[in-house]
Amino acid sequence: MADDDDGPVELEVQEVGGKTDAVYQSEVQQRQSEVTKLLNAGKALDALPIALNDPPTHTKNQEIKDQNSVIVISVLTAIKEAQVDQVVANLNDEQLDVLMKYIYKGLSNGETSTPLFKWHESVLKKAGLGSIVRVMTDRKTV
Amino acid sequence: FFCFLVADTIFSSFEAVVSTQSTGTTTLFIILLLTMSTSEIDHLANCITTHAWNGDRSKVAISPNSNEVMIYTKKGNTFELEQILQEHDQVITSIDWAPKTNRIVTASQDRNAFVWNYEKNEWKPTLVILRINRAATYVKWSPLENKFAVASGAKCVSVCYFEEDSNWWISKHIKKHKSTVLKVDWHPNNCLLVTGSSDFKCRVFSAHIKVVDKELPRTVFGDKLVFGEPLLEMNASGWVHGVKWSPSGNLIAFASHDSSLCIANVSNLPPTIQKVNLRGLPIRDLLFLSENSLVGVGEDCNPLLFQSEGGNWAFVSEIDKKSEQAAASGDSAAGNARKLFASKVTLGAESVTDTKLETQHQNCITSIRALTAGAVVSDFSTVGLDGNLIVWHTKALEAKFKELKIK
Repeated sequence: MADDDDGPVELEVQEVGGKTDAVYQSEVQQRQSEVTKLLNAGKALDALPIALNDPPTHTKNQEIKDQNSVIVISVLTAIKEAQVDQVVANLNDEQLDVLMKYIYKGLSNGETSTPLFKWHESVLKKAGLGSIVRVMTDRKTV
Repeated sequence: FFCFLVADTIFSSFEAVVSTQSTGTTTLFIILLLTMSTSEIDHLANCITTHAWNGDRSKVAISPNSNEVMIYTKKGNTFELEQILQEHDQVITSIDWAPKTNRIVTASQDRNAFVWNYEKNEWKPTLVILRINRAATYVKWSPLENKFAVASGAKCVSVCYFEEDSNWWISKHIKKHKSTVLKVDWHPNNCLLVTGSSDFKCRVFSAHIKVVDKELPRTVFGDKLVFGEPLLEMNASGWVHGVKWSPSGNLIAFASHDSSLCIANVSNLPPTIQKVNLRGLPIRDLLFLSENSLVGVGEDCNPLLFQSEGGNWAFVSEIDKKSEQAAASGDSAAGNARKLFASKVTLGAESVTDTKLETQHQNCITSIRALTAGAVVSDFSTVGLDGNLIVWHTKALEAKFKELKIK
């Protein structure tokens, strides 16, 4: 008979390229300052690629992740609704997947839902249902 | 291409005639254009989980999501039910038909597999003791048809071979999986096995059995191949639903539940892996049409074509194109009026709520098989949860849609 291992199995998902929490922390702070600078200068469109770049997916520290998501959501809400489609058109596939993850993270808070729904519609049109499937299945959460 | 203009006009003239008849007779007006059709559709059951063709492609065995195997014979342009094989207690998850030895192997959720031999116009089952305590999920004959591998929920693969002395199928286990094994595929050398599992990994094992395979083949994995030891492990970001070796055995394609497809080049170790993210829903099964062309089928209900340009794999196109879908469904005013009354009677609906998908398959495609052998597969068949069996002709598709050129 095959091994009777009926208990819950801990599936180790090999993480490649995980950095330490300290590195993530400093990266997030750096990102925060850069993004704030651009937002204050009114350059929300330039802030988005920086905000989406290299999300802290490999850390187990929820605080770092939440901090990063605050940065991303602030950029998303700063960009005007009319510009959303144009911005999405300029993003590459990887950025779109990361963006979709943050959209869902933001929607789960329930505070900034109106602009996020517009973002969702736009990203869905560009990236397709596959991006939503990847939000649901990816164990490396943002 | 003059013949295609003729084909289109004949299509539209027949639409008016056939629109009042049921979709079962879509096969009727396709008869007249057999040489030019890009696909043929047959509704064989309510729902089909798996299918397998015999050697000369005159018969197909399907599992209609039940504990029976239905064998259909191709009579002219339709399929006729020839036999029903009843031996399993639970849903049959997988069927494979060995083309040369004409043996059918079926695997089921009842933790058993049967090998069926055709003797005196009857299919005689032989039970195979798999020694698993969970459902069998997939079964595949090896290229030389002297072994078969059964993937199961017992986190193992049973590689079975026939022992002449005891006149019995013996199974050897490949464990090393942390969760259900969803699919297996044999390397052309009859010894290597690639497995896809819901533990997010795609692995390659040696399934070399001394009594059956005489020599150990030379592989890139070295000379010492121990049965059941993982030779290669590749990570996926979701359950690995589909795995396939390319015709040469140099590439492994695996599709996972995160709507992605990975192609690993294992001609050199460590393998170079390319990931293609899909626009749509996950792929369930794969088929290499040639070394450079791959078709994935799954929950999009549409076969997807991927091709490699100098080693770079990318999505090319959906195979079920809109114009073909419209022609096959035969929509018209009379047909719509009929749909309205039908929905009023059956569903009590006041308006035509069109739940019909645009694609020819109305539900997830579960299985894809090659119909023609050889270096390039020119015809393949798909079955789905909608109960349809569709045969696709790549040459006709190529002629009609230039981007579907198979390399």
